[in-house]
Amino acid sequence: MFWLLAQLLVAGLAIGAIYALIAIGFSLLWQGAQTVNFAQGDFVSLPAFAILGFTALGLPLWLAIPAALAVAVLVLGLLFKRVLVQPMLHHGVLQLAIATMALSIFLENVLKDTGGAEAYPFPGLTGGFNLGALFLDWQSLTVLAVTVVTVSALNAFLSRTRTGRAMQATAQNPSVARLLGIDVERMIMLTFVINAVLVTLAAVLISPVYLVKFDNGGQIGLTAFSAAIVGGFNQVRGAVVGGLLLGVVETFAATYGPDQYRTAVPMVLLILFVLFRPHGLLGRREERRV
Amino acid sequence: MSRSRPGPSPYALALPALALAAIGLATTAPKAMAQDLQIAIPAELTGSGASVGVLWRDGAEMAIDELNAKGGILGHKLTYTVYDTQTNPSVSRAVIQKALDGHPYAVLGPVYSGSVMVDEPLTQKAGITEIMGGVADNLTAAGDPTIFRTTAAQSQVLMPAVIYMKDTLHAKRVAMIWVNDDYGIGGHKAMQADLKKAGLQLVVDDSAEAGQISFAPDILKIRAAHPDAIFVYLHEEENARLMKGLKQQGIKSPIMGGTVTDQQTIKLAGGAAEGALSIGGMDISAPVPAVAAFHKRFLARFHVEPDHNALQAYMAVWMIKAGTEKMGKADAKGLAAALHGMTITPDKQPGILFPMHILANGDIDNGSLLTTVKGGQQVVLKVIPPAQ
Repeated sequence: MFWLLAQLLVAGLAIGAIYALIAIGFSLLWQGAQTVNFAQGDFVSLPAFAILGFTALGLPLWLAIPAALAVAVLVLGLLFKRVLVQPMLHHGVLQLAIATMALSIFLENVLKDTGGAEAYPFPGLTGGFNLGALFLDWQSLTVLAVTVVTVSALNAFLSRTRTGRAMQATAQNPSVARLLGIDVERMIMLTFVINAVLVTLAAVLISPVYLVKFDNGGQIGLTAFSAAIVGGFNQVRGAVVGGLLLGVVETFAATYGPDQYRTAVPMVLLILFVLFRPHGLLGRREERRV
Repeated sequence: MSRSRPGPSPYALALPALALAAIGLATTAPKAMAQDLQIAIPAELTGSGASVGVLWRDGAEMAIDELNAKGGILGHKLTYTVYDTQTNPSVSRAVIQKALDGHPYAVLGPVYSGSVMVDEPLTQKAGITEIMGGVADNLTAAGDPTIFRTTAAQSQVLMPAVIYMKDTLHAKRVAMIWVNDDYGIGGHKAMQADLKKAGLQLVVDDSAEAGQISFAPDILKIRAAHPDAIFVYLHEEENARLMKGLKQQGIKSPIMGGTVTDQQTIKLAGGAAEGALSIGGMDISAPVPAVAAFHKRFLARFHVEPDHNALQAYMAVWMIKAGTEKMGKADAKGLAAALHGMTITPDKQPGILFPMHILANGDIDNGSLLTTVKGGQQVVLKVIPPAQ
């Protein structure tokens, strides 16, 4: 029994780690640019398709990943900010959120038209090793390791570097940040670039198991959104905790609860938190409303 | 001066003649210029069933083009319209209604049993033949005289699979995971009964949703139960996600299932599909030269590997040809009756790649295959001949 619980915990953490990476993006964009990006799940699909596209063109995987990262930074970072967020933000947060929903539909259809409606395999790691009765597979361990390193690096960047602190200042109060001489526009742009990097990492980690398909993003994005709410939408560490918690709860619920309701678990948690703890586990109370 | 007797002018005489000629032309026109036969092809072009629906459409298109190149059916050219069911039964019903409004000669598809289930009453009411790809037993159990299969039904292949697990794999404890739609529910129900009959214990009985992307909890349940065999009754994409997870978790119990040796599953699961076993209807790996030739033509035309869905849709078009030729005329309402009880053989209909007997309820009996995956290819271990 203990080993099964430990096995479930590892599996839940591995899924949750990917949710966390995507949820961090939700949190960063909200803090940096008051953007609730409902296309975040589809942002994961785009680099996955780009990697497959580059490998189909003959690039080895280790080169296709940075090439896809460059595409993601350009399209999901710079273009997204310039073409959609910047013009829409003046109209209000809700209008922008609706625009990202439209972007989600647009992206899915572009991916379907260019890549087809079929699923595609994606290279990943197989095998693992036993630790007592616990089996640890390389793919899950890699997901956990990459997430830990990424979150630690992001945390160090935000708290220990000048640029990171400037980003935090911008997130807390853009007007004061401007008075302090911080290039607020550059900081906001940097937030979008970091989000593009995070979704590319998530794409590389999630695609070997989930396959690459134009409409995978919807479900993943919704779960990551729930994770960000549960953890606290305005805190990066909240997104991490929310992601991991959701992954574990989802795994245990699917194992011990009725199969048919497994996809409802993130939604139920989301509703409970919105009702009883709207600022999430680690989030701050805010006056702003979406 | 003579005066000719007044009478009808040559022009006036010509008028009735012209009218008669026109009537004659009008009545003979259908024979000289045979009307096109419109085929409706509803298929899962998007959604979780896109992997199979696209191949179904391509198989049908290829057969129609080849038949048209040979002069069509009794002089009638075939035309077709493709409809996307989005792997969604309610959309499927809507597109079938739209297709029927266009008065098609026959409906080919869809593939998913859940979609067929909801649109079948419409084709039955219209009296239009529907040749589909579903395998759920209940599709042909309701006495619909217009519904036809293109492959073996669940009940025709599940018991042989149970017997194989018991006698060859020496399994006593079986884990089963099934998709929560009409295909999976039908298979689950039949499998529960068959396992019980064979005295095998079902140690994991787990359902998954169509389009489900995470199988970690299911895999851990299977891992904890240490089954002697795993029976997988999912669709191709979900097969691949599950099988990759099983391999990642180092689970070595043999995998048997519905479409686990299918080309789409192999493509998506890669090495994780190696060694999987399936008993199913005739497939692309059938050791038949005509199937190999079909495989080659399909690959050359579409640059993708065909699977059993492509093969079934291809033969479905030839079923229409066989039925129409039996009637001696293109009668949409009479086609279903003509097909019932027919035995169609490749010597008479070259696009029927192996002999096929159509049963009274629309099921077909053309044998089945025990297949495995070896070196990334579906390999036939045994050909199980037709019962008749």
